[in-house]
Amino acid sequence: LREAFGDAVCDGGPISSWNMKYSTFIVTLAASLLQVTALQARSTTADVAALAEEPVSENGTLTRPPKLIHFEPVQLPPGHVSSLGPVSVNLELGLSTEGKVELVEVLESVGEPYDTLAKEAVSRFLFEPAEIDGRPAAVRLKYRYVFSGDAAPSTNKSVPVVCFSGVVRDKITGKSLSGVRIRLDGNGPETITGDDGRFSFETIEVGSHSVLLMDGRFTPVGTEETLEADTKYDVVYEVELRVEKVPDEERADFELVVLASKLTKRVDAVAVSSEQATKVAGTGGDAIKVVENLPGVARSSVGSGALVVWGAGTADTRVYVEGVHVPVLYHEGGFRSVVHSDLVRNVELEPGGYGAAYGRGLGGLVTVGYRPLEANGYHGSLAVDVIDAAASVRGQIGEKIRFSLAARKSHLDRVLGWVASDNVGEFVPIPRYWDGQMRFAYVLSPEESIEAGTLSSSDRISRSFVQADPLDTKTELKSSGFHRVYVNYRKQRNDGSQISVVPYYGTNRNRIESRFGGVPAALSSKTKLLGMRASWFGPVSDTIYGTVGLDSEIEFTSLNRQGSVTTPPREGDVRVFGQLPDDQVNADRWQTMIVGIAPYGQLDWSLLDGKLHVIPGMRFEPSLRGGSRFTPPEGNVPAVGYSNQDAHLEPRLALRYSLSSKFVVRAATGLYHQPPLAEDLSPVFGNPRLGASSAMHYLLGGQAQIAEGLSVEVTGFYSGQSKLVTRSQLSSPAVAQALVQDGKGRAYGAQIMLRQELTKRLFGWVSYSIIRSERTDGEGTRYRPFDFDQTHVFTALASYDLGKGYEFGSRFRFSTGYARTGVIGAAYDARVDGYQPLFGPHNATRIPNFYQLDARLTKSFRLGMSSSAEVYLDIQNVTNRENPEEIVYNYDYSKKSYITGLPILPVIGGKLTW
Amino acid sequence: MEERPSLVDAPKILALRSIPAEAAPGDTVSYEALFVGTEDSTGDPETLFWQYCLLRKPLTASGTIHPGCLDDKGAGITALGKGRKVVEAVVADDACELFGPTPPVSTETGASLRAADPDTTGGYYQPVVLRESVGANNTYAVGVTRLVCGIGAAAQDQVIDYNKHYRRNENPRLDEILIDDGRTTTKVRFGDEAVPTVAVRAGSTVEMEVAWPTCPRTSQCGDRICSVDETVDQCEKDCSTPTGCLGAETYLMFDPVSRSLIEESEQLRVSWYAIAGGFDHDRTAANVATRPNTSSNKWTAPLTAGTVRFWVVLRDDRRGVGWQTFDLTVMK
Repeated sequence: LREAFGDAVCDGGPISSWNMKYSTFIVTLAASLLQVTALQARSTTADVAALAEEPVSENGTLTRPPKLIHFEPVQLPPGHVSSLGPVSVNLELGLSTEGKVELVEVLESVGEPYDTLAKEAVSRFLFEPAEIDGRPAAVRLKYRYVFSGDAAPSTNKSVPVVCFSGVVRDKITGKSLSGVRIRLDGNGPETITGDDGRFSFETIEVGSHSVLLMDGRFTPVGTEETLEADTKYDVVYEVELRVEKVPDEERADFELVVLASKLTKRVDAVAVSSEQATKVAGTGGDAIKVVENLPGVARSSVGSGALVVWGAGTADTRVYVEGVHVPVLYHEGGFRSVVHSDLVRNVELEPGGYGAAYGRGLGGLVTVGYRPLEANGYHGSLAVDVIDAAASVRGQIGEKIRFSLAARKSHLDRVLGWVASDNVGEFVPIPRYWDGQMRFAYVLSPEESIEAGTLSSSDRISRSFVQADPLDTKTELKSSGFHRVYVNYRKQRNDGSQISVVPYYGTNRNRIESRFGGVPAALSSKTKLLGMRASWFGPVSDTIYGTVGLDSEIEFTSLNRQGSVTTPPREGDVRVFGQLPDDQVNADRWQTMIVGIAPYGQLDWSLLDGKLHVIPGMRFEPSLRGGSRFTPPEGNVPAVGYSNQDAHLEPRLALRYSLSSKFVVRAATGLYHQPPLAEDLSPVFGNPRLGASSAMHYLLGGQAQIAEGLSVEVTGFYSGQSKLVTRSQLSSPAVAQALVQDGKGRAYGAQIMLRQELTKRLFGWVSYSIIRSERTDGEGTRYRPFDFDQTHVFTALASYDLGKGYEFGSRFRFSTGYARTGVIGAAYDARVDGYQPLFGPHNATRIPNFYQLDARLTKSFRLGMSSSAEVYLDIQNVTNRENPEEIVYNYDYSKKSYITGLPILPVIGGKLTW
Repeated sequence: MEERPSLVDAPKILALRSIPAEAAPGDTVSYEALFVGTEDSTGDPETLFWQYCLLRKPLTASGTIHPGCLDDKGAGITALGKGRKVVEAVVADDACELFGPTPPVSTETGASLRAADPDTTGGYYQPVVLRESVGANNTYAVGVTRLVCGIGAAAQDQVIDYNKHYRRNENPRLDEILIDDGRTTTKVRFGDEAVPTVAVRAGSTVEMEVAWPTCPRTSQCGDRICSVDETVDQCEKDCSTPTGCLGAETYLMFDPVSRSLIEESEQLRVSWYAIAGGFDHDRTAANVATRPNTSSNKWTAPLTAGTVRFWVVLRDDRRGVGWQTFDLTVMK
């Protein structure tokens, strides 16, 4: 959270004195404190009174001084440059009982345009009203509005310096932390936060500075700040305390955190600031996309965007945005995430072993948190590149209501239409998407807020490849989307506890239609979804914090499906790309209801002076599933509905032991269940009797601080999965049992991440994961590699600030190719004049390894006081390597070749922020 | 990978045909292969072995046939004979349970098991495998006989209607081919005793158009075709011994989406083969917009003179097959 102030702020905002309405009270403020007062005026929590000397009473007692809660910066017109340094206008203000500025008088004029500008700005100030004898009262006060000098940035300053101040808070409670040491540039200047948690460096040279936060209550965390001339910085650093405070939903262990706010360092977490995330080569400026570069995450194939975490299935990782369950994290094609980066405060990827607050997924957990809505005027951004265009705006309506709107729409199809052949869409699936988010927050009090919002996303890919032979004609349409409406109520209590309630309603839709080999296939679903997450977190005793909550979700889905049982394919199907589909077809239309209402509880027990944390949790997961049809349609026989229910206790346990301030060891285990997909409950294509699949996670790892800013984190894991849904291995399965739960899975491996967090200009990391993920398809079958198994995944990335607004980043990725089943021959299918492959051992071969180097060059510009622009060139696959993405065969499967990924792909774009 | 399946440069199987194209369990059928070669290598028909596959394909298996049937030692194989053609193969009595809509019964529990799904024309098929064994190498081709099994999972009145109006599929027949070299158009009628000699220049491109019989869209008693909406009571002349059309027939099928009986017309496809030169397309569909009983392709002659043999295979989507052969002379 960085607030760039106008020129007037750093040196200005002084209140030399203030009077009660019409000379009733005179309060003189210390001149040295006035500057700080102005800074704090940017925050709603600033308190002018705290800086005032003892008031002088003439007609009563001043029981509360006015508090400036809205400051209005001023930009000088072009050409108005003061060669004399700061210019100040002394004013006298008359405040109403509502805190509005009703009167502005210039006490000491410095001429135009300064007088007028200052009067206009101050007239838009808003104060929390003063009180006399406990009742709101009108007052008069003196105010000095200071213009620091240059209207244009970086002019006439031989040694540019800026003010750099901020506050350090507990991330959980929001309370200010005193006594925290703030050190700049390794052994540079240092300060300690005061009782109010604030710190300040009055004169810091512009440029990049490393910032290190140190305190016995948390592992030292740091970041890098780039300070620019003529800008005042007031930052908020939120840290997670190691001993006294833990999150309500303990997820600190083993999670990888991508932070979109300026800095919210979490103990035991790997964090990337938003600025860093958006500058990683290959992300296209999308902060959430950096998740793909974290250890434990498999590289998704081109055009996929699938999230494969620790060898779990693509549908096994749950995604939540601000507590609201959404079906996907990325748009089709994987170019963009479904949430605008301007709204995102942090993205947390927990590959496994997460706490009791979440469930219904066998794999990882992705939680996207919004940044708080600000109360400092109107801001926004506009971004365009060759893929899409995006815009966001945020601001406030009155004192209490804040809002944020964001939207994005792709135009890649049109861009390609200009530069490529008209039929490019026949060969390359071109995603078309849009997304939008709305947020409206009402601040009931500093500790209590309620927010209503919407989330929407839509994707569409269609292509048609027409051939003379209908057998070779391919048509494909994929359409999906979701909408969510939610309310988010949060209250923070004085005892350190907090309450959160997030009810939501939404719809999902999916539609897949294809025709290949003369065989039509279609699957469509429409889901109505009701959910609510509610939790209480707070202290139970001096050493124990507790969390209780309810995680509920009800889904009503209507589905239609037509085609063969094996189309669309599912994990474990033995097939090759381009193979003619099975031409035995059927159809079904069915409805399902899946209900999950899970209460949960968790404790965080601090032992051994906080060195050891024992975090047990328990989740009770009852599940009800119902459907419109238990058996396939049969003549005029009416459909008979059904309902199944089961309940599972899911124990979770996490341990964390701090061997020293620089070395933490952690372990966790937990049981997880996942309900079946609605599309698998078809009596024709699936099995209405399907129940929950389960997984057991075991984790062991540690994190060490090797040197200042240099850390290493190692985690080993094992996940055993059972009752996985697979196809029946039988030629003639029982009726309505095309799918069964005979599958088992196991994933095990380790990951390591070496990260250089802080230098003046450089950040980056190296991560490596070795993971083996295997499945069995039923009794009598042996473990085989998971379709998305990538044994080795290596990522190295770095970004370097070249100075003068230039930044260069690069990324190198290596990954093992996906497992595939080799073709050992073919049979001539004389029915259709084609060939059908004969397969070797299941998933016993692989697509060749993947190597790719990406680069990104960014140039940033300052445009006035609070605006900036950025242009970038993001080049994917710099070496133009032809990376095999899929195996393809000739017509009779006698020769093998590869479909290769994207060639060198330069993406040029720009972003304007104000 | 620019190889063309339309180029015959070695002995290969181009088509399999069941005669008749559709049969009921217990019926006797014969099978015929279009096994061709080049001037240098004609292929030995004695290397061809016919076998029935009596295993239903598992749900997990892609493709058209149980993988166990593509094995000369497979458990589900019944040998039928060898050579280009076999006669007197009898369709298994339980074919409709194995491959059709009749639900098989579990030998353990006695419960009904999942019936086979039909293809996009509502059909069920008995697979037949032709194994070519040359030395230790086996290659396989898969053909089918469409089964008369009725329909599954339909209402009683729909079953009655279907059985009353469904007409068995006929193998389609190629009647003629037009060869246009840009100057003259030559018509070759297959089956005529006097086949004209057609000569083309080396390297030139000619347009070819094959034709098959046109099937009536409306029933007409006396046209020798027992149409879907004709019965033996209405038109004894056509339906006492029901005969289908040798082109794109109209047929009745049970649509699993609407769960109703619907009339469909067969879609026909043509596969083109030659021992030299090159076709624009390996396979083509009917010229629906112009002459729906024809299909066109272009062929570029080789640069060397000689006689080029062609094969044209016509397939309907109920798995009926017909083919013809002809020669062109390429001149310098």
